[in-house]
Amino acid sequence: MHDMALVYLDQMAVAPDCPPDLKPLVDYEAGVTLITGSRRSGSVMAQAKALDDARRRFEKFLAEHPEHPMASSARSQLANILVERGRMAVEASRQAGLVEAAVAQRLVEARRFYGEAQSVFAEAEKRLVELLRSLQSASLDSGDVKRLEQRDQARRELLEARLSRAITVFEIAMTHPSASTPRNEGLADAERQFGELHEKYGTLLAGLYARMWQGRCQQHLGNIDEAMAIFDALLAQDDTSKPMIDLKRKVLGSVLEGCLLAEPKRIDEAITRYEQWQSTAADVEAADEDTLAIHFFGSTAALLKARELPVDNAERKKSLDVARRGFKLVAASPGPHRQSAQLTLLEPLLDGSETNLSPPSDFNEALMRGWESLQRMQTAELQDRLDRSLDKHDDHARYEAEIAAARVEATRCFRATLALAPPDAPLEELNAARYYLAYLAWGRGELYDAAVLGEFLLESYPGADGTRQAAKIAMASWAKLVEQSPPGAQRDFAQSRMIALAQQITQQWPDSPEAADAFVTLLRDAVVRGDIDAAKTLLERLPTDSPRRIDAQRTLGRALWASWLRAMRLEADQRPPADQLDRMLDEARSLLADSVRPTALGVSVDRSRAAAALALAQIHLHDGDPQQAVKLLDNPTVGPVTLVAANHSAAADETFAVETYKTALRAYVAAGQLDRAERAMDALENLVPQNGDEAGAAALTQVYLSLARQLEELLQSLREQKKDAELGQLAGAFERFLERIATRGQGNTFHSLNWVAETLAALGSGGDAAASAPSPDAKRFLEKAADAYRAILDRSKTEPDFAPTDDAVLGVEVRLAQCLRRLGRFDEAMKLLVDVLTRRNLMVDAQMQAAYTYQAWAATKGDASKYLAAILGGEPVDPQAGAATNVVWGWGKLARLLARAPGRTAMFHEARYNLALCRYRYAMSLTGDDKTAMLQTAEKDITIVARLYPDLGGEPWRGKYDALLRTIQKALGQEPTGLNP
Amino acid sequence: MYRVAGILGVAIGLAVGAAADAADTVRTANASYSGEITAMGPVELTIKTRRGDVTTSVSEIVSVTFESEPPMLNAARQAAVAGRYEDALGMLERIDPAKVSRDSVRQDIAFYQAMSAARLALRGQGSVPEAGGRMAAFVAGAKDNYHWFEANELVGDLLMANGQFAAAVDYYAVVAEAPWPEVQRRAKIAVGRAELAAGELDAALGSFQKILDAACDDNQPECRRQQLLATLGKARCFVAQGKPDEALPLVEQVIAQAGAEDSLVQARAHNALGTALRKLDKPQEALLAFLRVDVLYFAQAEEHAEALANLAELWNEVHQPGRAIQAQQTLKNRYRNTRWATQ
Repeated sequence: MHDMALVYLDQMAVAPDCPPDLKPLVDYEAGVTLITGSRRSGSVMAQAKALDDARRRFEKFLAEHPEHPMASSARSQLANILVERGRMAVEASRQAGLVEAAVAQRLVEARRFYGEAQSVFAEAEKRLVELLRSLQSASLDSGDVKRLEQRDQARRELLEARLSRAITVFEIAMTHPSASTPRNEGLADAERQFGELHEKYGTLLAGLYARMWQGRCQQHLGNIDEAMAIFDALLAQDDTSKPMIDLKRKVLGSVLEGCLLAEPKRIDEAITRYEQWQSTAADVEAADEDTLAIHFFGSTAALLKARELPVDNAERKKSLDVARRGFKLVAASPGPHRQSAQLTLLEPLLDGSETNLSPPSDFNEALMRGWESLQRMQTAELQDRLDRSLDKHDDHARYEAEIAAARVEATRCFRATLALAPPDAPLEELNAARYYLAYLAWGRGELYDAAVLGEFLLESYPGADGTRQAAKIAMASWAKLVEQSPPGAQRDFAQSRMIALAQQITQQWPDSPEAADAFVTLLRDAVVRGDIDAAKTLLERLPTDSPRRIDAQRTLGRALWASWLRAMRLEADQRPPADQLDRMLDEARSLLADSVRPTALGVSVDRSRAAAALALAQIHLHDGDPQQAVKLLDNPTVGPVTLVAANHSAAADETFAVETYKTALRAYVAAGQLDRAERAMDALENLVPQNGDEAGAAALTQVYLSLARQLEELLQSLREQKKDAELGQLAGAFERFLERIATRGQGNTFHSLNWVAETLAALGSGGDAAASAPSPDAKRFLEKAADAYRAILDRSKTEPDFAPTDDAVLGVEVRLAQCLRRLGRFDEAMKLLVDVLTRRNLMVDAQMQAAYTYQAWAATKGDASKYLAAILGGEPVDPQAGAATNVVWGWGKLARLLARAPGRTAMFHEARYNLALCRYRYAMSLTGDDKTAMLQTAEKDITIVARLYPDLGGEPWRGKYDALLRTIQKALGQEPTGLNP
Repeated sequence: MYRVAGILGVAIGLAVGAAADAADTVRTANASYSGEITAMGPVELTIKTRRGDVTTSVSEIVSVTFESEPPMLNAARQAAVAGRYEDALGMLERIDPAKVSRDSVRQDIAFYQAMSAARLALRGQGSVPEAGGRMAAFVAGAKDNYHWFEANELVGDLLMANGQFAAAVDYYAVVAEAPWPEVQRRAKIAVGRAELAAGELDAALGSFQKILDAACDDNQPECRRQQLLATLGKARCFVAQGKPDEALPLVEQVIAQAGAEDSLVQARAHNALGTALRKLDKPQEALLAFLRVDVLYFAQAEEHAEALANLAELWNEVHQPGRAIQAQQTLKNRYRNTRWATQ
């Protein structure tokens, strides 16, 4: 609106038909319009700009038309603008969170504005004196009304200019620190000027105003009694005109302030005067600055009084009521005391809580209060962190409460900033509020809100300050939502948003630290998706000097290592080519080695670096270089064993500690450091929490089983790398260690012995669960494993507390049966399994081993009918009842039951795959139509499951299904297209 | 905090505002006239100034103050215009009606009381029927008042909030008769929204299409904005007709074309987007659309209430029952009397 008015005025200035007497007034009118508009500006910045523009207009008008009749008014407007800008600078200096230098800078700015105003007032004074002189030198005819009016007006303006100039001296003095020399000198100078004005014009209202200011100077000089005497004299004036009432209201505010500045404080006097005013004043609830000042100082006095009184004193409650009511009035309206009133209302004495704070009433207040609350929150966070670093926890709860309250208030105020924004609110302030809201939402764990705000800023204001950080918060929010969401649509959605955002960030600010975070996010996603090539490309795009590069290298190195392990678990014919696998391992080794060693970036150890070191130690083991693995595990800086032993925060995760000891155990054994291996084993056992319950026992069993599996993988890897010497050395070392453990006098538990047996079984494993006959060495290990299992079963029978649970004993029996199967002793194995299944028919592990036993029996002994038993089950419970009630279910029933069992996906695919495999192998024992029919059934076993479960359980099952299907298709004389028709 | 007082405690712009104390004042976007208001109607107002009579269109008026009006009235006006309706009502209550002799001042007091109550009710604070009755009484009794069209529009809004869609159409239709194109367009969109809410989809589509078919110059930004709102109305009709796929591109186009700071258009657009996405069984995308209204455009009360009503259900779908309860509570507390809280 005001913009349009200005455009209109400027058009008028150049319009040919503009009346000549109006043209000079264009700048004056524009200045007035800008001042009017500034009052409606939504922000301090917009107000300042409007006032500065107005100033330029008035200055131009005065420069071009210094003698114009409106020049005097223009000077007055100009001076008032400068005073206002000075006050705004003082207000700005009081903002929370400013460093000392910034405060000083704003006060210097304030003094400059006040100084300029002083010059304008002085210039006005000079011109008015000249004007009056010229008017007085001419003989004024009493009938010359116009000239008489002009003289009176000039006198009034002269008085106002002198008074105003003295006030600027006071204001400049007050910008200096309390009791400092410049302040006191300035106040003394102002006091002298006001005194002179009062002496000269004491009978006029302006003279009385000068007297009031004189009192204020005395008050701030510390001369409270002198000040009070001046104020009392003013209050005692009989005049009850409105201008005098207005003056007395100002004076009363100063009196109450003086009572509080006095030493000792005159609290009772202040309260009495305040109450007296409340009972006699016309409008005690007016929202003008003077009325609010009376309430503020009166309420402060009442609160101080209440603090002095005992809790059960009736006067105390009354004082608190007075204080509460007064502060609420002050807190509800804009003014210099509003913020103090709002904070005072938080006092417990006033039943204060954050919710008692009145909502912000305008954009600026909301922004300022939001910022202050944020500062309060961050200060408390910092203090809390500092205390805790010094091991001080006494105030932690208080800090937490303060942080939470400040966060709520900051959020409320920044939301109010958005709600109260006027149409011309500066975008930078609005966007700052949005950024803070994103930050606060992140802190509260309201991740969707944080993401929405960050994404909005990125979409709408990519160039704004804070957008980059807000986008980072949004990306981090989605990353956290990925972590927190259950698998499925919700997680996929969060993942896709995170990736989209990361891509936007890398495009928008490719060289920023935020982009580095985004590259790492994208790289991790590529790793999770198994897209190692994409991950490598992303690593290349990350600047070489980026602090996040090392993290990305570790992530990629670990991903390559995990991929290599996964690939090695596949059947030989499904793996990538050997040279590709070698390259993968080389890259993993190189990336991890680079990212583990100390760099110029520092030697600090975090989780990522510790995890990289552990992965690299595992690679050394797989390389057949246990010495190197031990060296790295024990490294004094980054060694995982060192970190776990020292309870380092980088190794605080229990899973990491378990994996570390498992790796260490293998490494120490392989390196022949059997004492250390034994200690690692004990440490491992102590690490897994055992509360004597089934869950604890199961956890420990799982640890040992996985340890045995890892050893099995290691042996297999060495076998495949044809590292026979290393293989033999490792097997020998483990054999010696296991014997040592098995025969040690004390310290053995069910779990440790079970591990001995498992490891021996692993040493005897050829890799394939249903493989052909074992080698002599493997056979030796399997025999030893069987003996170890039997020993456990014997001790479980004789020592009631030896086995943690009955299920654990059953598990050992099943593992013994597995050993017997590997040794080709199928009859014994099956008897044992039937015995177990007769007692616990629903034991799926035992059912699967029984099916595998039939399957291996058929393969080894050439008895194809055993494939039917593997498919259909065997050992009827009641031979008269037929196969429907077999003790052993076979793959068919297992697959049917497991399809419906939640969380058994892998087992279902294992059963289903073996079902198809047994059918294929059985078919190959048949001829003609029977063979074709059985092959077609085997084919359907796979195609149906592919239709029902398109992911086929992921790898390795998908690859296995595919390979088997191709074999079946070949056998059927079809083109071997596998799962891709 | 910004203060308007000069160093002597005298307002900087005293010379500009001084006349307000002594005469009627009419402020428009470009000028301020002091004198005596000699004629008032719903379309224009005439003020006799020292330089002669000035007739001003009501659509251009920024504010009107009357000679010798109670000082509290102007403060209340400013509070109401700034959206501080509770404050405005409190100030207006402190005016002693017995001391007001001039009809136009009495009408102004009545209008700002009814307007503040109406705006509060539309925010869910206060009784919608009661505020509606008050504003309808003003409409009936102040046909020559310069607030008359605005009052009609507010009655329409209150009837909408109360679920009386057909009656709302009648009031909006009156506003559509105003001689100002912008007001006409706004009223016609309101008619369309009322028809849509009443389930009269063909009629609503027709109303929105009329706005879209009318020509808009590039230099008429408000006209273009109204067309964006009409596009959103059309999209909501498509969603209601079970064609969310057709609604989506329209809504996305509006979101792209409207300014990020145009909170009304953006709030309505994101609610339309969320509604379409819910129909398409995309609860997470829908949640983000409604959440954008909740965190960015919540100053639009009606739209915020709709967003909260949806969020109260959608938060459950992302396993955040606490947020669902919170949204429900905010809806009940802040917008308790709106159709969104009571449905």
